[in-house]
Amino acid sequence: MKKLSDLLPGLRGGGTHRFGPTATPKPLTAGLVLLAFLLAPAALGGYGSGLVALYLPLVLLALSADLLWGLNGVVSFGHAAFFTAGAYLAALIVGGPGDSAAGTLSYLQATNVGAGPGDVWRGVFEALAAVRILGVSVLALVLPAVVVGLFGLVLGLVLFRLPSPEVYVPLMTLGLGVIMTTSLVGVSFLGASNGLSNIPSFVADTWLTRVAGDGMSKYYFNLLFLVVAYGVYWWFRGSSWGRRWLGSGDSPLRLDALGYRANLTRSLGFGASAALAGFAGALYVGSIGFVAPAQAAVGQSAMVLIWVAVGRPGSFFGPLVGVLTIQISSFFLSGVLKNSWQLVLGVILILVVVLMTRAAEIRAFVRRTVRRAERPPVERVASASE
Amino acid sequence: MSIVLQVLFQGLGIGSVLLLGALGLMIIYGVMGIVNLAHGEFVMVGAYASVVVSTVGMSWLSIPAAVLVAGALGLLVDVVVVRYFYNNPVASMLGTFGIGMVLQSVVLLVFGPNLQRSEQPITASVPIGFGQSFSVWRLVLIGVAVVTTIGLGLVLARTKYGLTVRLVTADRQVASTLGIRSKRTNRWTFALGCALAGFGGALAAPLANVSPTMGVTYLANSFLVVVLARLGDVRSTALWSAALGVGLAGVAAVSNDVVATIIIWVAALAIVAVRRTELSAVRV
Amino acid sequence: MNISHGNGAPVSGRVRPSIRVHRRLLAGVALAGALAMTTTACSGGANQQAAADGNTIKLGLLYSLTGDLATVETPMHDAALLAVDEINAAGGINGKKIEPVVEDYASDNAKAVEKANKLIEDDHVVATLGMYTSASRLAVLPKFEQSNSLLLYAVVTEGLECSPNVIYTGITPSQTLEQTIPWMLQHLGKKVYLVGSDYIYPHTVNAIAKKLIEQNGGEVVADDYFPLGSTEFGTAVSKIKNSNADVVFSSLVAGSIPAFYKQYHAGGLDFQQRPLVSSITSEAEIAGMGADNAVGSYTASSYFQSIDSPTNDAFVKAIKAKYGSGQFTDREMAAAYSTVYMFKKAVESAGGDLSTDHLKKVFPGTSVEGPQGTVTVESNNNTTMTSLLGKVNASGQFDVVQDFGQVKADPFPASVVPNPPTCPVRVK
Repeated sequence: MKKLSDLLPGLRGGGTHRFGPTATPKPLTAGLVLLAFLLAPAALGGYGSGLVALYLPLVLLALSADLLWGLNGVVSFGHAAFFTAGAYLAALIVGGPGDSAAGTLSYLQATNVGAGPGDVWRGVFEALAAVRILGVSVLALVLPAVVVGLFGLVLGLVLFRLPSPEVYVPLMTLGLGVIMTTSLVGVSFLGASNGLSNIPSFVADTWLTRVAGDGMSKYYFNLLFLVVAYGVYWWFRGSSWGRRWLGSGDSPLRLDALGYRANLTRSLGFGASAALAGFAGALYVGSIGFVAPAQAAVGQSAMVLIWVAVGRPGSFFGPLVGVLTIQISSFFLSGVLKNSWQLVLGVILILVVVLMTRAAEIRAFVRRTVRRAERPPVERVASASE
Repeated sequence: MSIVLQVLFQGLGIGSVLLLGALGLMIIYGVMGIVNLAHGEFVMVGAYASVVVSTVGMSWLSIPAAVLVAGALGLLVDVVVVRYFYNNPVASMLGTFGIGMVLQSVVLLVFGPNLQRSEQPITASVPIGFGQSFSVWRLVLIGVAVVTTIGLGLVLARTKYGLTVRLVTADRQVASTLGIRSKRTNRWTFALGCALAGFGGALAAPLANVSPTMGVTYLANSFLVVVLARLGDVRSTALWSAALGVGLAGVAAVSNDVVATIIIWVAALAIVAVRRTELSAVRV
Repeated sequence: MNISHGNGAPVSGRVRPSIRVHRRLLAGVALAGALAMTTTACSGGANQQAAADGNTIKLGLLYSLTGDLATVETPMHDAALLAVDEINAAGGINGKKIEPVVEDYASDNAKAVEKANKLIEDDHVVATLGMYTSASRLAVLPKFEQSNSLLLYAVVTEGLECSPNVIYTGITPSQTLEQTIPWMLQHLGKKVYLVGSDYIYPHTVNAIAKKLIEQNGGEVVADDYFPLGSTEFGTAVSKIKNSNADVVFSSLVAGSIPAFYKQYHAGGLDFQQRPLVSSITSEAEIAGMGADNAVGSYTASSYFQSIDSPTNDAFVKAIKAKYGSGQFTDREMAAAYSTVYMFKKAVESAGGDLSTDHLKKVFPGTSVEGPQGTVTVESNNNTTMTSLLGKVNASGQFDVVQDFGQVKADPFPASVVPNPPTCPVRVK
């Protein structure tokens, strides 16, 4: 009988397409990519930088999902939920609870005038937001990562005790997304269906915004964290921790036999992935200015998986390529094509996927052509003269 | 007592739509190893086909038309695109996602974004005792779902095609060593899965809304049923669809729909977590 | 070590250097292409110029042309474009044509923010007409306030807001409920069953309705909410049936409406014995469910397609001519259409200065004769309009049952809000 674990890329010897982490790139390549991103605002301008700035936290989100999918064989359908949870926490700290409409609504629903739950918390959040380094409310970035990470850790401890976690994680995280969107809509403390809006940029009060403007300052701020995250990721992939992580997904039984507790490793990793997703959400809410329940939906989590898939699960720059390609082409296409852009994007996606599945044949063709070109001329003349 | 009866019928009504959706998703996954993210869009195509046929005046033909159109479209999509995705989970996810986008866009561009009118062929309601009455069309829906399930079960149990499906679902490698031409099985299975989805769409359309994005809601719930039930087992799928439907209706009757969704999902996940034996066949 | 199969296929996971280079090149090209696309999308030279340069006046149109909300927003976009075409055909505004800059935010509020950025910072529009849900408006509002641009919001709203950078031309509960609820209690019954979709707009409307019902001697029997987009109402209908309610007040929205009305009848209820009143249901939803499912129900609104006036006749005719004889017109379309005309009037009186600050001063007091009658923007940035109560007839159109006349909009009705702020006031 087929198991749903066969859903996952080749890690149990199931499917015919094996993904695994590719090598880390050469320092030269990485350096060139970094340089390109540092210099891009010159070409993009303030407006363009502001636009790309919105996509950088999404790269972090895709990276967090890829940690699980590409490196450990676990597909999560709930990373948008972790992302949105982090966004809500950051929004509460920096922006305070429920907006005017929801606040009045609470009043209308209750019969007594006076302080709602929001007012008590408002003081707490303001105190948290007041902790600043160089003008940035750091707790609004740190706390979401910590809280969401802890939640992810607890969830992971439960999930990885079950016999086939590759089966349960997709399902449970799918349920997480459904439950989160449905329940958030009723919580007026969190702005109900409107969510929390008017969230200021993290660098709004800093010298960076004064010098570079709103768009570029958000871009460089987000880029900073992206570079740091990728730096850590680079180190991780080359380290023994990275190998332990790969092993826990590839063959947990062998890892256990060697004395490393695979389940604990995976739970910790799941928590770390959730923490990164929550952090990405916090960063995002400072860039885009709002958070709403719809962002936790299963469809959004599916989009995260699409980003990872387009960039190839397990590939180092995969999340970057996936997010930027899809998001930028969506923006560009919808501006040009108005209401038929999804048709074009869908067709492109299908073409890319079909080509991907034929990649082996394409590669073989390329190899043949390259070999033919590389064969020394003497041999060719010799064989031709026979 | 009257509430119980109402909840029961209501739940079976919800369950029958879930069932038709889940069956299609299940056989496609079981035989082909494909997660069809475009499943909801085939439901939508069936709904639109039934609307178009009704508008032309032949509303009794609307359901067979929906089945044929959805099935034929599934066949076409398989021949052109899906055949590259067999047994490739990542590619099938991405590819069917793209197919879903394309289908939604095409329907949007051709029919426009407005809701389409879809009428129940029978609008009467019938008393079911204790002062309650129930829509005849919903009863028809339940009946048709039951008949389809039995029919599909018979096909799987008694026909050569059904044997092939069961064998490939259980163990693909053994099936191929026995010389089963899985490509043809895959093709017809995809068409059948899409036809079932379209069938569900045509039946649900009179009670729901027909718009290009109507299919999205069917995906998550059908997926839940497929995971709860034993893969490849039609009866198990039927039972879990009914359970889910009655559960949703029951909790909604006591409190409200939002709470019902949350509670039922939490319960379903708990069931899956607790019931370990079914899903852990072989441990690596 | 150089082990090979002899056919060039790699043995270990290591790939030949030439292939690795190809793959990297591909990724690099893709990335470069993506960044290049952004740059082109951003710096189209002409876009850098000021909005009223040359011979056009740029009006942004930010609507969902795809996704779940396309059903309701595309007709608004269509009606707005019709107005633009008519104005341009008649010579434009002070000789300059309106250049509509259309953007689709695909029912995704994050995309809405991206597109709002584009319209304001890249296209430099004079104003933007668009948005639909309150969540979408709140998502883009900070951008309009911070960049000091103007948003024209032509959709029915729950009020509770009056930003200086938004002109609200949609009807508010203060213009529908305060007139309709007393009439409903007097003519249809005192025991009311409230239903609604589960998000802020229906909750707010129902909360105000509850207060008004109690203040006017009625009784609220129950208050049920359903997930947005839900189409399962069998249980709800039987609950209503088993209750002693005389009338149902519905704040269900969009797709839930046809499903609810259909299942109302399927469950054995009808609008004769148990009438239904809504402040939302319009010709759009009736088209989706068929006249026989809606006949006999009431809607409180500012506009009906059946309104008998020269302006409305011309409007309906023009819509049908452009978009097909089956196309309906509803309140949101009428509002979008007349808002473009209000924009025209405001720009005319603004003369040469089309800056947002100047427009903010000029808009209040602007009045046009639209399909829905006279509409006037007031100093609180909301719009005075006619309040009507209509009943659906057998052909799916509304017969006007009550005309409450011109009613001013009060986004913070004193009857329910303790300390109303003085409008306009920034959202935060």
